Amino acid sequence: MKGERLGEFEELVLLCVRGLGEVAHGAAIQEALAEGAGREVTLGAIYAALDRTQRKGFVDSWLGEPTPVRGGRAKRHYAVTEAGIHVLEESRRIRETLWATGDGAAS
Amino acid sequence: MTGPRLPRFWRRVAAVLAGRERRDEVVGDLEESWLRNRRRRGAPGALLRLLVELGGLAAWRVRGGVPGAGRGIADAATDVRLAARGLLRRPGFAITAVAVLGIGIGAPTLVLSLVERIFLQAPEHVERPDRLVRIYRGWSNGVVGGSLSRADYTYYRDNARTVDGMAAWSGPTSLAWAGADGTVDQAEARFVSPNFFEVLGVPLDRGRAFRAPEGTRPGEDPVVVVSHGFWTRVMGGDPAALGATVRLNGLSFTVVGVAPEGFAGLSPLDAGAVDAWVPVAQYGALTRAGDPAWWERHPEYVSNWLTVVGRLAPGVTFDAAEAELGALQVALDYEGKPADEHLVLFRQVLYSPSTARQLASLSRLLALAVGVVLLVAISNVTVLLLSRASTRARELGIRAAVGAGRGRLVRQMLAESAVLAVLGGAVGLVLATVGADLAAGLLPYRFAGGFRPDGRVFAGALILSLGTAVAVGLLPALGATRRDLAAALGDGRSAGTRSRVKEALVMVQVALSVVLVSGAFLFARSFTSAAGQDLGFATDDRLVVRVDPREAGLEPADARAFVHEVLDRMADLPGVEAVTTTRQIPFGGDWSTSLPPDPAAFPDGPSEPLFLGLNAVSSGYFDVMGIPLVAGRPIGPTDREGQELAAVINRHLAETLWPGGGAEAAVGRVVAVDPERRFRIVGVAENAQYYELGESPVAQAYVAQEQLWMTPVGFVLRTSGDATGLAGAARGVVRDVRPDLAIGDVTTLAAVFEGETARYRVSATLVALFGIFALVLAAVGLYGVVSFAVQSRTREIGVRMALGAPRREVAGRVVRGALVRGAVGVSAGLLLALLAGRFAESLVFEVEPVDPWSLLGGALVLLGVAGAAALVPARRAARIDPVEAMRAE
Repeated sequence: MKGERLGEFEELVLLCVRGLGEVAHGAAIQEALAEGAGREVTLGAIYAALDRTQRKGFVDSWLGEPTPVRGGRAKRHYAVTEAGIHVLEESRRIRETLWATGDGAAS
Repeated sequence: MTGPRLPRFWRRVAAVLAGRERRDEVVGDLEESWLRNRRRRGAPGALLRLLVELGGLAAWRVRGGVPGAGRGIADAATDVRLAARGLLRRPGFAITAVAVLGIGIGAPTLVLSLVERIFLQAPEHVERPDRLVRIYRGWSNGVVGGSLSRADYTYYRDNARTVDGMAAWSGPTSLAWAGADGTVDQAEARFVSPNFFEVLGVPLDRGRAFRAPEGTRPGEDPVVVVSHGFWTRVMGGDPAALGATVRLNGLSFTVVGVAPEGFAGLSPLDAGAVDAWVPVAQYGALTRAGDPAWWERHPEYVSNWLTVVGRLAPGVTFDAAEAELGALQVALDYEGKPADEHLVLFRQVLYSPSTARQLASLSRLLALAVGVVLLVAISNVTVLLLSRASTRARELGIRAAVGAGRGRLVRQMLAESAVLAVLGGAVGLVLATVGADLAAGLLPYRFAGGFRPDGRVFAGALILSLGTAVAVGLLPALGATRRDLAAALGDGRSAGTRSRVKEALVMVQVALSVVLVSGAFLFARSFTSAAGQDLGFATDDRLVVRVDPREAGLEPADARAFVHEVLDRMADLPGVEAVTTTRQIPFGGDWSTSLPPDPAAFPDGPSEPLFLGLNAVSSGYFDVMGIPLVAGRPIGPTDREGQELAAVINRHLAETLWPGGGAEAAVGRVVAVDPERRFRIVGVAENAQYYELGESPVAQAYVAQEQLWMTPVGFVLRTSGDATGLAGAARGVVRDVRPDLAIGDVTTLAAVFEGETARYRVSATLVALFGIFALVLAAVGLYGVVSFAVQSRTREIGVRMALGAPRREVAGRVVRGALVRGAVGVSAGLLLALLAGRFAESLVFEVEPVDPWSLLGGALVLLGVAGAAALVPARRAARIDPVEAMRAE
């Protein structure tokens, strides 16, 4: 893993995946993005982000069993990996540090 | 899951976009998302969102995991949007460019579709037309296209080994068709060899084709096959009509088959013109042939009236067949066969050689005209885009300065070109479709169901124009982005090279326009000359009613009585001044024979048989037709059956037979067409045109219809004005006398003449049309270049005016500049027109294809256009305010 970083959209997607836990699949992520972040994005954009983060090793995915729901079609489930959690925390830490600095300067 | 599901169509689209590997999960997600949207936004909102989702999927797939590559699609959409907005902001430019492209795409589509329809489209229902050959007789003088006699046909059919089957058909013959209910219709029939459908490989729609020995024994097995159109139109599409008995020219025939829909023989021009096929052996019985004695004396050879096609045997090449048939032809010998006669085979089976030649030269002309218009259009659009690039150089410069990448700018220019090309394509398609209807009405040929623009041709033209627009769009885009930014921001003056390219392109347009405009003059002159021909007979106010008494089964004695009665009644019609009859209608069918050499009668005359046109006319003919007599008397009421056969010959024949003696020498002499037919020459008439417009004088003899009965009979009425208005009354007379007789053509001699000049009118109209296109385009081009020159020299002109140059001189300079450009283009154009002249050779009437007057006309028109195009810019230049001009920038 060569010090990959996260794009802003990738970060949002990862956060949704983390938040959704077991039930993270494309449509659910899309809904979470819409409700949690007010971002209406296409499934294509989400797949693209997931493809990239998966290549970077931040996300794992596996195909679920076909279920009668969705016309018997299987879902692909996503979960954030250790590395993914790490990079999310890293990103959060940077932001908080920066916010703190700003707060300090303001006071 | 119950409840609504994503429609199957969209699921399929999504599955394709997702790819096999991830199909299930993606379609599942999409359906879930769509259901959610349906709940929240309703069906229309969900559909809109679905389309966006599919776009997103496509972008995701195209990107294929390469980061950033997918942005291309979104960017392309943006480019197109920006381009459309940019074009809307300059509607003048956009409309001109789209119109020019539309003409450039529409015109070639139309013409190539027409050519495709005429020559390349295989005849419907015919099996392997590429294995068919047409067979004609030819002679050493280069004339080809002689039809075959029945004897020729039978001989070749029975002896040829290289040809599997040989079919023959006659020219059109109209028959009176009386159905079971007694109504009489006219049926256009072809007499065909019994194997006609078999050799062409045409399966019948219902019933059967002719079957041996039908059609081989004269007068026996009277059977007829009808066209699909005739079956539906006249027989009501009644399946029971098969096997029914109908009366043709009064004889009973059995309908045995219906041809497939749309089939009317090989030629697309016959479409809809053939109603019935009758075995050739029935000809004698049905028509009680024109001159029975003659017919019976030479039943086999006398009439060369059959068009013959053969189907090459498997594995046999065209050349092998031609060689074998040529050898057979030598073996077939009969009295009177010309020594230099030989067989000629044609691969082109749709048309007779002469029709094919005419169509080919018309097609060549059209292709040339369209090619020229296309070139003018392309160079015109190039100039437009180049000018636009110049005016936008500043804008592009600014955008480059604020960070727009070069690729991005190039893409945007390309998008603009592409939008123009697509809009132009749409206009072109509309033009081609409308033009197809116009052309179908304008052309002197009738095609089955008219013709439509060809999809492939349109696609080709669209790709061509797209390619042009992209190529043309690319150059200025590259130029605009390569230029020195500072220079671009500093002033908008365009690079000198580019304006020189534009000038050159405009001169090319002028040159090409000269070709078309002088061509238009040439064809207009050709048409005027054809329409102004002195035919040797009058055409105004003459009505012709053609009937064939044989169709009602009338024997000559009854037919005579019928003709007399009709003549008497027609003469009594109000508005009719005089009536007569004629066997020949000018430029229509002919009845010719040959006059053998006769040293006793005309020792100084020709020693070879002489082609002789023979017309049977009634008393009053020369008066009604307005043909002056130069000696002797006309055919009159005293020339009756039983009297000595009388003839009036034309001046050309008199001078040919008795050179030096003139017309007077001919009167009183006796000439014999054959031992039974010896005519006393009672008069000499002035030459007229009989067979083809502009023909050199042909030997012609007029004999008395009363003495030499020939059919059909054409009644000619000289009216006191409204010939067309009398058509109904004239028909009524024939109907009153013989209700069972179908009336053939009712027309005026003026209309006959007009039909004869039609092809010259068509060429003239078409070339004029293309000439106007080219002229308008060239004018637009000239105007653009001149006004651009004025615009970019505003400052210079201002300086000159400040130094005291009069306004008149400034304006004059602009016009002169345009005229010089025009003159350069015109000179080049005249050279091109000289080269193009030979395309027109076979299409013009009594005008040299390189006609100085037409060239002069084309040159003057273009110079005039150049001057006119400069007027507005010249006025603008004259109004330049020196102070303003120098203060600007």
